[in-house]
Amino acid sequence: MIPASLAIVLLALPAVAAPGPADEPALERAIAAELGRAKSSLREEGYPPIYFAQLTVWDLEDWDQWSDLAAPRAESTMRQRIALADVRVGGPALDNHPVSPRGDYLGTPVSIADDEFALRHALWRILDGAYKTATADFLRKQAVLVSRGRADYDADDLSAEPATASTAAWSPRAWSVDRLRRLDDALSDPLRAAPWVLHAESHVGLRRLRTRLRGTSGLAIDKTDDWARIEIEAVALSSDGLRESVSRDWHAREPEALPSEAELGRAGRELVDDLAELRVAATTSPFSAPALLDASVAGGLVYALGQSLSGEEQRNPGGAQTFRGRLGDRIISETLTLVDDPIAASFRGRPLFGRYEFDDQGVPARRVTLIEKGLLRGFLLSRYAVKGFAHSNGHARAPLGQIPLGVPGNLFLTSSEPHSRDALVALLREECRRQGKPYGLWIRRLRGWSQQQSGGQGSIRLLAEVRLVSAATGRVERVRDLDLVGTPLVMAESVMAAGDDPEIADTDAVAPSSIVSPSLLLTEAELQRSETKPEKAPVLPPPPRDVPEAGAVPARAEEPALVEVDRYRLAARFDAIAALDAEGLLAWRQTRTAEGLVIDAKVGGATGERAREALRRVAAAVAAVARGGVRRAILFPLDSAGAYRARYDDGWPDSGPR
Amino acid sequence: MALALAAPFARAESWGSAPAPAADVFGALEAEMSRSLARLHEDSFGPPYFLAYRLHDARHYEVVATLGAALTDYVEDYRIAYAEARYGDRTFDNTDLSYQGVNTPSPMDPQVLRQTFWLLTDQAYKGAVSGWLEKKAKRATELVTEPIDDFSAEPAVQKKEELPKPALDRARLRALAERLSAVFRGYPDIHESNVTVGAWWARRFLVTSEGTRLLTPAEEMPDELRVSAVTRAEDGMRLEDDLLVPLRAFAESPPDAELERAVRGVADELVALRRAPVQEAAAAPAILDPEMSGVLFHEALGHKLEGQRQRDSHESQVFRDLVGKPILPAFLSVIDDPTLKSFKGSPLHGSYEFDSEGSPARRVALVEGGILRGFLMSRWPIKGFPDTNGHGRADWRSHPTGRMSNLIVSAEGAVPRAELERRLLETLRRDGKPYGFLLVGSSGGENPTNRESPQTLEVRPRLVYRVDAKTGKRTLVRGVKLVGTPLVILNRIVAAADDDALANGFHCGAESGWVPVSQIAPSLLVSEIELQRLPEDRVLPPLLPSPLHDPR
Repeated sequence: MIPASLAIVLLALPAVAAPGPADEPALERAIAAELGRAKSSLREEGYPPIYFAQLTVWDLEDWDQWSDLAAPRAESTMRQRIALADVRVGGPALDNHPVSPRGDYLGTPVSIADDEFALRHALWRILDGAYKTATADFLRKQAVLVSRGRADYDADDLSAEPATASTAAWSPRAWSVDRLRRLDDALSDPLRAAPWVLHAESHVGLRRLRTRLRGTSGLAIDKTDDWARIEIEAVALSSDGLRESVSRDWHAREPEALPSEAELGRAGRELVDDLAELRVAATTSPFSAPALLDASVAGGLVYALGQSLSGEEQRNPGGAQTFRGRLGDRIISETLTLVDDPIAASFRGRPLFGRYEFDDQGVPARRVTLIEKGLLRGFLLSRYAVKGFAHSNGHARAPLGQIPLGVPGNLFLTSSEPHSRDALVALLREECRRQGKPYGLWIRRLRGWSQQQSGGQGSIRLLAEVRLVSAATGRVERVRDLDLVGTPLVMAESVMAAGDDPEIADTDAVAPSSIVSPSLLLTEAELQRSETKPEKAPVLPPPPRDVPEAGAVPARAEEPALVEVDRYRLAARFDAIAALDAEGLLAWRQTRTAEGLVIDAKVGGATGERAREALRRVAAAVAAVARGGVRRAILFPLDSAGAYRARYDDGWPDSGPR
Repeated sequence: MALALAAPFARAESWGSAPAPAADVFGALEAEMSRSLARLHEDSFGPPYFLAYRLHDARHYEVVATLGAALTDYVEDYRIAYAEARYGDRTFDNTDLSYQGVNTPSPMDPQVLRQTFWLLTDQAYKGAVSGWLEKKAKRATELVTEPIDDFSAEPAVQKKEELPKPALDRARLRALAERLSAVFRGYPDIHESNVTVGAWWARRFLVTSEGTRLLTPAEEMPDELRVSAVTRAEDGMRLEDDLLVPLRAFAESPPDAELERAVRGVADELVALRRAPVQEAAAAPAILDPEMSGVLFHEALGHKLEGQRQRDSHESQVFRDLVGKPILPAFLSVIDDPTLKSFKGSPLHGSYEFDSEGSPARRVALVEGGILRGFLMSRWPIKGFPDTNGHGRADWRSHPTGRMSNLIVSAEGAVPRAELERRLLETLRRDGKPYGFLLVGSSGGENPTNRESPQTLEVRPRLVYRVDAKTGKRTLVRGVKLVGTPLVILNRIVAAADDDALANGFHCGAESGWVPVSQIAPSLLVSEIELQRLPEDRVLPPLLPSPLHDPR
């Protein structure tokens, strides 16, 4: 055996990729022969025969490069061909299709060469295995029906659809790996220049994917889906030892859609500024308040809503079936309409990531209205029918090596009453005052989300930039270590207004999708502490890089014998780290509390006298950077127990007097 | 057709990124290390007394082919940085048998390399100080009767060997995998078959605070050629067979025709196995062929002679106090020799010049004339053996421990193989047994080394023949593996043949990861072995015939 393989990398991709479908007659012959043989003769005595079978064959060529601080760590190239059989026994009204969507990987690698012998052999094995599993699943499904009966929401397992055919020779697009590398450098270089950045891990990847769908019903569809990605996550430690990160990503389906080097260089500099701001941002206890979500965060919410409108979810006995039987009901504000349109190629000149012509069951993509003026009108449907809808609407999509299910293509959320940004902020403050809340939330720049259950059910956690908006003054202030939490439906129901600023957000959570949404104003949203644990800063300062920045991370002096935590009340927030770099200051943080903004500072010295000197220096430094006056309150006396607790306890005296 | 059998010309192409100049890499590692040694201290704790940095820089190519056509084609280029810190002193530091250093994927850019080792060192140092405190806390309650040092003193070594630039003949390797895998096209009864060709260019940097500076090929990763095949008997029993071709580099690989013959041998064996009767559990005398004997010694003896296991009271410590005493029949001797490069013209997988701690490889006598003489030593001392003997091995992410390399079993008074077979029949007739066994080849084995588990080891033979006591006739059987306990089974060895042979291409896994090893051993006659049934794994064979043998 071989040790688990690690990371990875690469060679330049061949300028011309493998031949296209038209050049691979052996693969076509192998598929036809084995599908034919399976349909006509693959049958076990005493078990039902195959009534429908679809083979999906994915050809992929991947190139990936992983870097840290603009220096490549690993690179890889891979070619693979994955095949998956969807074999059905029984009949369209009831077959072996799973009642709860399966998220498991079922693909099998088959020969990448156009070799009929090897390919037929592989397909023979795959179809044999799929047929045996199908008969067993069919019998088990019948067994459940025998004891529980048919649910009233059950419908056909495979809707009737006309056979489609669309095949063509593959014409590769001209991607340049060197260009992708340059883009990565442009993005990463600014982060490398900031010595306090611990990591700036980036990934550029290019997947060239061709998908062949072939079925016993005459189905013959070829699809091409190229996909370039640029991703980066930068990490630094905050002044109180929490790991803070910022991230961005870009997706492109064709070379022309890639961002420019200048654009990425700007983005890199913005990330540095963002991270610098985040490191010294205030913390606060979680609370709930009216919230303004920018288009990216709204996109995350809309996508979760879209997933819960999947046809499969309405029939999933293990899921929430949130919208089953609610056609025509009002589910969100009547000013809002939600449409999914996989045919739309672009929005305001920008290409859409979720477009396609045929879905992964070969059904032509169709535009579908999901919610019209707040009323539920439809679902994202595959051929797994939903009561009230006899046919697919072309939304069956499969991640590599998986069985397809209804998921979003390009979601569009529109409002009949768009508001300007200023109007939304005014509404936010007004709503805060109405609810008696001192601050509203402004949630921006989604960097990720997680969900407790799949399929759009369960609570969702949106990781994004959080700002507080003062209801009284309108002043905006950044806070950190907080995430937005809630259930998608409750959050969507609480939308009270939308912006006039629709933007595109991309995701590949299940399959490539775009979400076009404006900013959304919610009457209430809840914050939760992030999952970050305090860690000690490195003992030594970072090694020198090309662009040193003095004093960004102070070297640790002698370890102090005595430590205390002091609290200073501030008139204003401050941003500069270097300004607080007083000898004896071990760590600090700003906190937004009910009575205003405060700084908690851990200060120490080797002896009582040294500690008192340090305290004076720190007080002076705080006074210098936080104009408007400083009030100081000692929380922990200079006794050994207090010092020990302050020095070694994970965090900060949250339970201490405020 | 993909079965273009061979590339007409060997055309090496460049392979991954250009290697960073060694001087830049050493410069970055040394700068970070000296800064850490001088200034790294936390609270009242001083700097580490020892630091080691390892950096593996690799290019890897792997192609898998089946039935004459490539299945995957994969190239990667990566590095692994590893740092280890020891806090305390040689007599008592933070390490114990579960100690691991810290590692991360790393760039080669000297500035970012420093950044990487800065953070790794910080992490390793904090871990070392807290590990030392925890170990000391444990000692507050635990009675240690014979304290042993934690780290042996060794001289620093320096050697910088520049490797040739990475070059890859991708077309040739892919053609080789396809050509060898095509052999199975003639075997419709074999359901799955793969040929994997893996090529490596890998170098290792090692820098320690004692002054060791090494740049060597990373011998942990020899090139490899593996053949594996699986089928089902008519009764649904899963059957598998494999072949590991002994090679260190493809430049030295045997001629294609010879390899094809070997692959055909695997296919023929598997087809024969399908028709073989199922063997019930049995205890009987047996002959183990050289490969099977080698793997048995690896499991039953080798792992138990790993030095650090003698330090830990949770380990079985079967041989700890038996130095100078007989542990094997007097005609057997065992050595482990990483300096041996080849055997009868075949390169050995377990060879290296410096181990993972930078100690020069050394030949070590483990058992001489049945008497236990030594252990496989890393820099972890044990009672009576204060120094390493160059067997501290690890994979790229793990802390080195004493491991096997090339394990060599030899016998006095060896007899020709035919004589050994005659003695087997004689034993059977004398004991009134109806049959004995011949075990051929091995696909590996397992054995527990801690006290909580019964010391039952198992070794899976590739082929088992039942030998009839009366006629001497051999019948291929299937469905069993060898089980036993180490002291008993080794002491039932009654004779050896003079047919010493190499079993290569094995990867051995233990606490310090997977490392390549080889065994050289003769056929052995064992007065009694126990065969146990394999776990049941039966599924319905394919319903339709193989497409290539179906007239439709």
